[in-house]
Amino acid sequence: MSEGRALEAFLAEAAGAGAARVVTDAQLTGGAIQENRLLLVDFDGGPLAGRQELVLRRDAPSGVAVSHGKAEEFALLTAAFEAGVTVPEPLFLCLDKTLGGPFYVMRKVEGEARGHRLVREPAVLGDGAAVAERLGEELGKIHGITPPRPELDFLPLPEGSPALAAVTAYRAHLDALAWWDPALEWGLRWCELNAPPAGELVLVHQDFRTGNYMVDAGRLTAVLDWEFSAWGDPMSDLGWFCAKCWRFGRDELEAGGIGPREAFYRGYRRSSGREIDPEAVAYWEVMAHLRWAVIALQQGQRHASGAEDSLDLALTGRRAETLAWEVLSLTPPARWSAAS
Amino acid sequence: MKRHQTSGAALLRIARAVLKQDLLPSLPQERHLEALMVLSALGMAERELESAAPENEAESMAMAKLLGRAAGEEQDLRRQLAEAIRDGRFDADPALYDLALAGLRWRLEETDPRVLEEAESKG
Repeated sequence: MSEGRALEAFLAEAAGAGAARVVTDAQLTGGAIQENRLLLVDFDGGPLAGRQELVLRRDAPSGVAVSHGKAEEFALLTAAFEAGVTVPEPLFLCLDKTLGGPFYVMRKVEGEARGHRLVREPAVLGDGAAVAERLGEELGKIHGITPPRPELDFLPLPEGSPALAAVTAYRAHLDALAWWDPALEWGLRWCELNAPPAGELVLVHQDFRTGNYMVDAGRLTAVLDWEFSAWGDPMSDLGWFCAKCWRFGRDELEAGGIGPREAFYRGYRRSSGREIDPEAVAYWEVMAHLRWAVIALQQGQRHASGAEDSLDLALTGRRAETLAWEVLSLTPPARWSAAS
Repeated sequence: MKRHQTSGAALLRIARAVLKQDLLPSLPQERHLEALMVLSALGMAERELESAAPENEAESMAMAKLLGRAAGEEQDLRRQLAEAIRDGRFDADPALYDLALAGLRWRLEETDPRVLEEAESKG
């Protein structure tokens, strides 16, 4: 059976349909670690009868080790969908390697995700403060998912402070890259001394930022990219979202370059019922620049090592310098006094 | 006599101008991002070629001084300094902070000079 036929047979069975016919199968622009395909499928019978616009997601051959596999991502998306988070509805998971698995299929969602467009095109974003507030609400719902959750048991429960665990992990990554930059080391040491104590653990998205959600004519249509989700400190997601490095040049709009921080916080407080610790968020904003710097260096290394020729990756690696500069500006010696 | 009539940096400068002024406008919108990345890479390489010093000797000397050791191989100094920072030997130390800042400033002159200009304009 051809790959196309096998896919149609899988879709028909999974959808409880008499038959499924793929009328369009097109590669979508996606990340370097994901394969995303748009499928237009005609279902005969079953709850999805008629034409459906679907997206198939599969790991690209050279995926990064730290991101979840497709089965895990499907479980995360399902948990988020059931918690009322605005995500593309997850439909079917295929683990069968003979059918090209593991992959999963979700409903296609319309909207613009690219950060540089969202922050500059009011026609797409609409009322930025309202979108920021809505994103705060969404994040609050995500943080309502707490351990233990049997279907998410692949997520390890961190022992001790998630912040200290991050410091240890980033140092190890830098050691592996043989990249010892006094600025990044300074920032990591500051983060070690100022780490918030271990507290409540919730599902953290870990990449909740402008660029990873979709907006269609002023309406939030999806929170995307769940592959780094983990149990962690809820304030870490707020710091990642507000960090200057994810404002796409609109530094004055502290909520992801789209709206005022307070709008985002208001939405978050309302849906989570949780108080926001501004000092903890500020801490996680420092950590956000460190984390992005480490990831940027890892991506740059993929090019520099010769593993994957890519101008994009090469330039990403050099962003680490700008990120380190921000780390230093956030942690001058005067900001150490409380801890040391 | 110069090595070449037109230097490497000058070649990159004119190549960048051709790409930006002549080629970019005729590219379809969906290829603009790639062209901008090429422009950005050419700019970095141009500034690197213009920079007189092949490596930052002042930074190496400053690292050795902070560590209280003789100068040596740069990568070795960096690794040793990282260990010392992790051990808490330079907590809140303005001298280390200034060294980190100066080292980054040196590299950002080439990679992202706009960040330095912004910092300067803020004072």
